[in-house]
Amino acid sequence: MDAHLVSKKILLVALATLIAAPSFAQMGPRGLPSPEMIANADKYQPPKLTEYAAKLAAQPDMTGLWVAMQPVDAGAGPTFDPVNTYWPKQPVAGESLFGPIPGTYLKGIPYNAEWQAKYDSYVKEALAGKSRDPFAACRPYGMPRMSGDSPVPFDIIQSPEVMFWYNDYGRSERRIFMDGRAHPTEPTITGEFGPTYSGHSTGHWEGNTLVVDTVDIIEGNYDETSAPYSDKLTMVERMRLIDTNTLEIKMTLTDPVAFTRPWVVTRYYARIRMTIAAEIPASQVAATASPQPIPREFKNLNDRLCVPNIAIDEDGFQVIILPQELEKQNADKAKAASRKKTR
Amino acid sequence: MKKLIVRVAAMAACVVGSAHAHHSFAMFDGQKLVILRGSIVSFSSMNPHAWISVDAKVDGKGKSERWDIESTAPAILAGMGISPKTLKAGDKVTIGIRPLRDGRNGGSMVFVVTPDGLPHGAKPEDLGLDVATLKP
Repeated sequence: MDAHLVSKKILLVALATLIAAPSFAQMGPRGLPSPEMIANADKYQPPKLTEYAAKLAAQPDMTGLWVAMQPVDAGAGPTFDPVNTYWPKQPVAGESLFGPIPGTYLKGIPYNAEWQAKYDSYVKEALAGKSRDPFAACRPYGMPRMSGDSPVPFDIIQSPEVMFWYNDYGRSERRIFMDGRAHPTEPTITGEFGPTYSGHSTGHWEGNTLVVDTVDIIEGNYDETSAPYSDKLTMVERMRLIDTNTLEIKMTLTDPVAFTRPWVVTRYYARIRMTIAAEIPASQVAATASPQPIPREFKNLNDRLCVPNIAIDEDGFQVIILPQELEKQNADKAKAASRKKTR
Repeated sequence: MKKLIVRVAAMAACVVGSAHAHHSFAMFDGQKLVILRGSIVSFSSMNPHAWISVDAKVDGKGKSERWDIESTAPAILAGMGISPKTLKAGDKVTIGIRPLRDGRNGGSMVFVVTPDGLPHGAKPEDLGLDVATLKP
């Protein structure tokens, strides 16, 4: 066999291994439990969460369903920093609105000249009827939008080592590791590495305050006013309960690409009971908030496939798709399918 | 652009039980109010926004055409007294909308006047309209 053929063979084997590897990739032990183990399972006494519960008992109770609070004079939103938002003249009450009306913008973001100009142009585009918010094209909220711009409540679940956040409206989840790990600097054995929508968060308790540090965030927008952030954004959050059902999160945002100095935004959240269907705005559910006992009722799952009911044109702007256009598409498809059948 | 719309529409059409994305208000003209008079074709109760489709004439004049009106979340609409039970196919209605800027037959809901003459959503008097003239 000549050398050329051998090297070709090696290449083929290597290629085959590469292709095959993912389908076999499964971590953990190989093999099933022994028949004895399965047969005796009824008599087995599993360990209880005693130790876990003792650790949790020392933590302030942040587990539950939280919704971002809005100032009473806030316009149609939400926005990331509703206390420092310019609200244009609002439509009359009762009219259907879909987020902030064009011309709404955040005041006081410490953008440098270049990024301020970028943001100004996005606000101007919205006034001209053009929006480029990628959420409409099914991009997940991620952080920090998940906590600052969510019109619906999100779940927080605590455990001693990790805190889970789940926001199905924004199709985002978040894990805050409190097990002492550092932010990853190289790929792990399971491959989680590099930027994600919600970034990598580590947290520790300073008394009753949870201090969370987040890095490795994919670039995006703070909210529907399209205020942009770069992929160099990092954030430190200080979270504390200031009342049984009121959570305060002070976010210090640092963006060396976009900012001239850190930006500090403080938001408040109300712990609520979800007694009605999922996906209703804060104003509707606020009435169901009850101070005592601690509400502990989570949302129904809404983890359905996200379908953009808009198209994105060549310039990156949203174009709405009307039901009559969808129906025509369906009818044309059905017609084509039946033609194919009869042929 | 048309091609793109068609492609996304085809994609959207074949997915059942999906969650539609939330888009911006910017594509509607908030300065314009168009009054449609006609009858309900369908009421699609879905999140995050419900759609009301009508066969209607602008200001009750001209040819009757299909219009699709995007409204708010079904839960909020229910609070306004609008549900699949109150808006049935064939019901005569008068609907105030903010039209799409691109001229297609679509818009966002401002108010709906049901066959009994009652307005739902924004109050017509807040917009300088006499509700008596809006009875379907």
